[in-house]
Amino acid sequence: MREAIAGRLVGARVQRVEDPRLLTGRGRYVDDLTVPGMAHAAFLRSPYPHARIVSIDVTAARALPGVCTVLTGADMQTMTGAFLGMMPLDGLYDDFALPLEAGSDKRDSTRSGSAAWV
Amino acid sequence: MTDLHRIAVRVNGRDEELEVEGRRTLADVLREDLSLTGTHLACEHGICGACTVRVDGRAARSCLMLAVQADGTDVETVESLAEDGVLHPIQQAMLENHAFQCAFCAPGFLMTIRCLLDDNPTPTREEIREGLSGNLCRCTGYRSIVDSVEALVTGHLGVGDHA
Repeated sequence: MREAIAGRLVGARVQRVEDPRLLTGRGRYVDDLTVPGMAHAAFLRSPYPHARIVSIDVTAARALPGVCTVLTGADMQTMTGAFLGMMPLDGLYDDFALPLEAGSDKRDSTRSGSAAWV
Repeated sequence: MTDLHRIAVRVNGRDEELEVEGRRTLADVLREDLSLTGTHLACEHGICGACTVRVDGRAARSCLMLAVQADGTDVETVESLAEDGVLHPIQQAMLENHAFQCAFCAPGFLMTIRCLLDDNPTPTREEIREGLSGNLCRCTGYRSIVDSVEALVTGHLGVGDHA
Protein backbone atom coordinates (compact mmCIF):
# COMPACT_ATOMS: atom_id res chain seq x y z
CA MET A 1 0.00 0.00 0.00
CA ARG A 2 2.72 2.44 1.00
CA GLU A 3 4.68 1.60 -2.14
CA ALA A 4 1.62 2.07 -4.29
CA ILE A 5 1.01 5.58 -2.92
CA ALA A 6 4.68 6.54 -3.00
CA GLY A 7 5.02 5.35 -6.57
CA ARG A 8 2.01 7.35 -7.65
CA LEU A 9 2.57 10.60 -5.72
CA VAL A 10 6.22 11.08 -4.74
CA GLY A 11 8.16 12.77 -7.49
CA ALA A 12 5.07 13.06 -9.68
CA ARG A 13 3.15 16.18 -10.65
CA VAL A 14 -0.13 15.67 -8.84
CA GLN A 15 -3.26 17.41 -10.07
CA ARG A 16 -5.58 18.71 -7.38
CA VAL A 17 -9.03 17.16 -7.45
CA GLU A 18 -10.76 20.48 -6.73
CA ASP A 19 -9.26 22.43 -9.64
CA PRO A 20 -11.90 21.84 -12.34
CA ARG A 21 -14.61 22.94 -9.88
CA LEU A 22 -12.69 26.07 -8.88
CA LEU A 23 -11.84 26.99 -12.48
CA THR A 24 -15.41 26.77 -13.69
CA GLY A 25 -16.85 29.06 -11.01
CA ARG A 26 -18.37 26.21 -9.00
CA GLY A 27 -16.26 26.77 -5.89
CA ARG A 28 -18.26 27.44 -2.73
CA TYR A 29 -16.81 30.33 -0.74
CA VAL A 30 -18.35 31.76 2.42
CA ASP A 31 -20.18 34.52 0.55
CA ASP A 32 -21.70 31.91 -1.79
CA LEU A 33 -23.42 30.03 1.01
CA THR A 34 -27.04 30.44 2.03
CA VAL A 35 -28.42 28.76 5.13
CA PRO A 36 -31.95 28.95 6.57
CA GLY A 37 -32.52 32.05 8.69
CA MET A 38 -29.19 33.55 7.67
CA ALA A 39 -28.63 37.20 8.60
CA HIS A 40 -25.86 39.59 7.58
CA ALA A 41 -23.70 41.58 9.96
CA ALA A 42 -22.53 45.15 9.44
CA PHE A 43 -19.90 46.76 11.64
CA LEU A 44 -19.89 50.42 12.61
CA ARG A 45 -16.47 51.58 13.68
CA SER A 46 -15.55 54.70 15.57
CA PRO A 47 -14.74 57.64 13.32
CA TYR A 48 -12.19 58.76 15.94
CA PRO A 49 -8.75 57.15 16.16
CA HIS A 50 -8.46 57.74 19.94
CA ALA A 51 -11.47 58.71 22.03
CA ARG A 52 -13.57 57.69 25.01
CA ILE A 53 -17.00 56.15 24.41
CA VAL A 54 -19.44 58.18 26.50
CA SER A 55 -22.63 56.60 25.21
CA ILE A 56 -24.00 54.76 22.19
CA ASP A 57 -27.58 55.34 21.05
CA VAL A 58 -28.82 52.40 18.98
CA THR A 59 -32.56 53.16 18.95
CA ALA A 60 -32.58 54.50 15.38
CA ALA A 61 -30.63 51.48 14.11
CA ARG A 62 -32.96 49.07 15.97
CA ALA A 63 -36.00 50.74 14.43
CA LEU A 64 -34.86 50.15 10.85
CA PRO A 65 -36.89 47.55 8.94
CA GLY A 66 -35.15 44.18 8.65
CA VAL A 67 -32.74 44.75 11.51
CA CYS A 68 -32.62 41.65 13.75
CA THR A 69 -30.50 43.10 16.50
CA VAL A 70 -27.88 45.72 17.32
CA LEU A 71 -25.00 44.72 19.57
CA THR A 72 -22.51 46.98 21.29
CA GLY A 73 -19.46 46.27 23.40
CA ALA A 74 -21.67 46.09 26.50
CA ASP A 75 -23.63 43.19 24.96
CA MET A 76 -20.47 41.42 23.90
CA GLN A 77 -19.10 41.66 27.44
CA THR A 78 -21.80 39.26 28.62
CA MET A 79 -20.75 36.71 25.98
CA THR A 80 -16.99 36.89 25.84
CA GLY A 81 -13.92 38.46 27.35
CA ALA A 82 -11.52 40.89 25.74
CA PHE A 83 -9.84 39.69 22.60
CA LEU A 84 -6.11 39.53 23.11
CA GLY A 85 -3.96 39.66 20.01
CA MET A 86 -0.99 38.37 21.94
CA MET A 87 -0.30 36.55 25.20
CA PRO A 88 -0.15 39.10 28.04
CA LEU A 89 3.39 38.27 29.06
CA ASP A 90 6.00 40.68 30.33
CA GLY A 91 7.90 42.21 27.47
CA LEU A 92 5.30 41.21 24.88
CA TYR A 93 2.83 43.78 23.65
CA ASP A 94 0.52 44.03 20.69
CA ASP A 95 0.67 47.28 18.75
CA PHE A 96 -2.50 46.41 16.88
CA ALA A 97 -4.56 46.46 20.07
CA LEU A 98 -3.58 50.04 20.85
CA PRO A 99 -5.53 53.08 19.64
CA LEU A 100 -3.82 54.71 16.66
CA GLU A 101 -3.24 57.93 18.52
CA ALA A 102 -2.07 56.37 21.75
CA GLY A 103 1.04 58.31 22.64
CA SER A 104 4.42 56.91 23.55
CA ASP A 105 3.40 56.93 27.25
CA LYS A 106 0.72 54.36 26.58
CA ARG A 107 3.06 52.23 24.54
CA ASP A 108 5.72 52.36 27.22
CA SER A 109 3.31 51.46 30.00
CA THR A 110 2.05 48.53 27.94
CA ARG A 111 5.55 47.41 27.28
CA SER A 112 6.29 47.34 31.01
CA GLY A 113 3.39 44.97 31.60
CA SER A 114 0.53 47.21 32.79
CA ALA A 115 -1.45 46.23 29.72
CA ALA A 116 -3.94 48.70 28.32
CA TRP A 117 -6.22 46.56 26.21
CA VAL A 118 -9.39 48.30 25.25
CA MET B 1 -37.85 54.10 -1.72
CA THR B 2 -38.27 51.48 -4.41
CA ASP B 3 -36.43 52.46 -7.52
CA LEU B 4 -36.98 49.51 -9.82
CA HIS B 5 -35.76 49.37 -13.40
CA ARG B 6 -36.48 46.72 -15.96
CA ILE B 7 -33.39 45.62 -17.86
CA ALA B 8 -32.79 43.12 -20.64
CA VAL B 9 -29.36 41.58 -20.63
CA ARG B 10 -27.82 38.57 -22.32
CA VAL B 11 -25.87 36.54 -19.76
CA ASN B 12 -23.75 33.61 -20.91
CA GLY B 13 -25.86 33.28 -24.03
CA ARG B 14 -29.22 33.44 -22.26
CA ASP B 15 -31.58 36.39 -22.53
CA GLU B 16 -32.60 37.61 -19.09
CA GLU B 17 -35.32 40.11 -18.18
CA LEU B 18 -34.65 41.50 -14.73
CA GLU B 19 -36.11 44.07 -12.40
CA VAL B 20 -33.33 45.72 -10.43
CA GLU B 21 -32.92 48.60 -8.03
CA GLY B 22 -30.83 51.43 -9.44
CA ARG B 23 -28.29 51.18 -6.64
CA ARG B 24 -27.36 47.53 -7.28
CA THR B 25 -24.16 46.54 -9.01
CA LEU B 26 -23.89 44.12 -11.90
CA ALA B 27 -21.86 41.82 -9.61
CA ASP B 28 -24.66 41.65 -7.03
CA VAL B 29 -27.28 40.93 -9.66
CA LEU B 30 -25.16 38.20 -11.26
CA ARG B 31 -24.48 36.58 -7.88
CA GLU B 32 -27.82 37.07 -6.12
CA ASP B 33 -30.47 37.22 -8.83
CA LEU B 34 -28.91 34.82 -11.34
CA SER B 35 -27.02 32.62 -8.82
CA LEU B 36 -23.82 32.98 -10.82
CA THR B 37 -21.55 32.93 -7.77
CA GLY B 38 -18.45 32.22 -9.84
CA THR B 39 -17.98 36.00 -10.08
CA HIS B 40 -16.29 36.99 -6.84
CA LEU B 41 -16.27 40.19 -4.85
CA ALA B 42 -13.23 41.04 -2.79
CA CYS B 43 -12.29 44.73 -2.62
CA GLU B 44 -15.52 46.08 -4.11
CA HIS B 45 -13.78 49.24 -5.31
CA GLY B 46 -12.08 48.27 -8.52
CA ILE B 47 -8.62 47.39 -7.25
CA CYS B 48 -8.49 43.60 -7.11
CA GLY B 49 -10.12 42.49 -10.38
CA ALA B 50 -11.78 39.43 -8.81
CA CYS B 51 -15.17 40.52 -10.18
CA THR B 52 -14.00 40.95 -13.79
CA VAL B 53 -16.57 39.89 -16.40
CA ARG B 54 -16.78 40.40 -20.16
CA VAL B 55 -19.31 43.02 -21.26
CA ASP B 56 -19.79 43.33 -25.04
CA GLY B 57 -16.37 41.77 -25.49
CA ARG B 58 -14.51 44.02 -23.08
CA ALA B 59 -13.27 43.36 -19.57
CA ALA B 60 -15.34 45.17 -16.95
CA ARG B 61 -15.31 45.39 -13.18
CA SER B 62 -18.75 44.14 -12.26
CA CYS B 63 -18.42 45.73 -8.80
CA LEU B 64 -18.07 49.19 -10.34
CA MET B 65 -20.80 48.78 -12.93
CA LEU B 66 -24.42 49.26 -12.05
CA ALA B 67 -26.79 46.55 -13.26
CA VAL B 68 -28.84 49.19 -15.09
CA GLN B 69 -25.72 50.07 -17.11
CA ALA B 70 -25.68 46.49 -18.39
CA ASP B 71 -29.11 46.95 -20.00
CA GLY B 72 -28.89 45.77 -23.61
CA THR B 73 -25.40 44.30 -23.28
CA ASP B 74 -23.94 40.84 -23.68
CA VAL B 75 -22.34 39.72 -20.41
CA GLU B 76 -20.10 36.69 -20.01
CA THR B 77 -18.92 35.31 -16.69
CA VAL B 78 -16.52 32.53 -15.72
CA GLU B 79 -19.42 30.10 -15.99
CA SER B 80 -19.45 30.67 -19.76
CA LEU B 81 -15.95 29.31 -20.39
CA ALA B 82 -16.22 25.52 -20.07
CA GLU B 83 -18.53 23.75 -22.50
CA ASP B 84 -20.14 20.41 -21.69
CA GLY B 85 -17.61 19.78 -18.95
CA VAL B 86 -14.64 20.47 -21.23
CA LEU B 87 -12.38 23.19 -19.86
CA HIS B 88 -11.69 26.25 -22.00
CA PRO B 89 -8.02 26.37 -23.12
CA ILE B 90 -7.38 29.22 -20.66
CA GLN B 91 -8.77 27.11 -17.82
CA GLN B 92 -6.71 24.13 -19.01
CA ALA B 93 -3.58 26.28 -19.10
CA MET B 94 -4.17 27.49 -15.53
CA LEU B 95 -4.85 23.95 -14.36
CA GLU B 96 -1.70 22.53 -15.93
CA ASN B 97 0.49 25.31 -14.55
CA HIS B 98 -0.91 25.24 -11.01
CA ALA B 99 -1.79 28.89 -11.48
CA PHE B 100 -3.81 29.32 -8.28
CA GLN B 101 -4.20 27.96 -4.79
CA CYS B 102 -7.41 29.17 -3.17
CA ALA B 103 -8.71 30.24 -6.62
CA PHE B 104 -10.76 33.14 -5.29
CA CYS B 105 -9.05 35.40 -7.86
CA ALA B 106 -9.16 32.82 -10.67
CA PRO B 107 -12.51 33.80 -12.26
CA GLY B 108 -11.32 37.40 -12.58
CA PHE B 109 -8.00 36.33 -14.05
CA LEU B 110 -9.73 33.97 -16.47
CA MET B 111 -12.01 36.69 -17.81
CA THR B 112 -9.18 39.24 -18.00
CA ILE B 113 -7.02 36.74 -19.91
CA ARG B 114 -9.95 36.02 -22.21
CA CYS B 115 -10.23 39.73 -23.08
CA LEU B 116 -6.45 40.19 -23.25
CA LEU B 117 -6.14 37.42 -25.86
CA ASP B 118 -9.05 38.89 -27.86
CA ASP B 119 -7.08 42.12 -28.18
CA ASN B 120 -3.69 40.50 -28.65
CA PRO B 121 -3.59 36.76 -29.39
CA THR B 122 0.21 36.61 -29.15
CA PRO B 123 1.31 38.80 -26.24
CA THR B 124 4.90 38.79 -25.04
CA ARG B 125 5.62 37.91 -21.41
CA GLU B 126 5.91 41.61 -20.67
CA GLU B 127 2.57 42.31 -22.36
CA ILE B 128 0.98 39.48 -20.38
CA ARG B 129 2.27 40.99 -17.14
CA GLU B 130 0.96 44.40 -18.16
CA GLY B 131 -2.39 42.92 -19.21
CA LEU B 132 -2.83 41.16 -15.87
CA SER B 133 -1.61 44.06 -13.73
CA GLY B 134 -5.18 44.93 -12.75
CA ASN B 135 -5.82 41.59 -11.06
CA LEU B 136 -4.55 40.68 -7.61
CA CYS B 137 -3.67 37.20 -6.38
CA ARG B 138 -2.62 36.76 -2.76
CA CYS B 139 -1.47 33.13 -3.10
CA THR B 140 0.77 32.52 -6.08
CA GLY B 141 3.16 35.42 -6.67
CA TYR B 142 1.80 35.64 -10.25
CA ARG B 143 4.59 33.72 -11.97
CA SER B 144 2.50 30.60 -12.53
CA ILE B 145 -0.36 32.70 -13.86
CA VAL B 146 1.88 34.45 -16.39
CA ASP B 147 3.38 31.03 -17.22
CA SER B 148 -0.12 29.76 -17.99
CA VAL B 149 -0.85 32.47 -20.53
CA GLU B 150 2.59 32.08 -22.05
CA ALA B 151 2.10 28.31 -22.38
CA LEU B 152 -1.23 28.97 -24.04
CA VAL B 153 0.07 31.48 -26.61
CA THR B 154 3.20 29.47 -27.41
CA GLY B 155 1.22 26.26 -27.83
CA HIS B 156 2.89 24.45 -24.94
CA LEU B 157 -0.26 23.05 -23.43
CA GLY B 158 -0.57 19.42 -22.55
CA VAL B 159 3.19 18.90 -22.81
CA GLY B 160 4.70 16.57 -20.23
CA ASP B 161 3.47 13.81 -17.96
CA HIS B 162 0.92 15.87 -16.09
CA ALA B 163 -1.47 16.59 -18.94
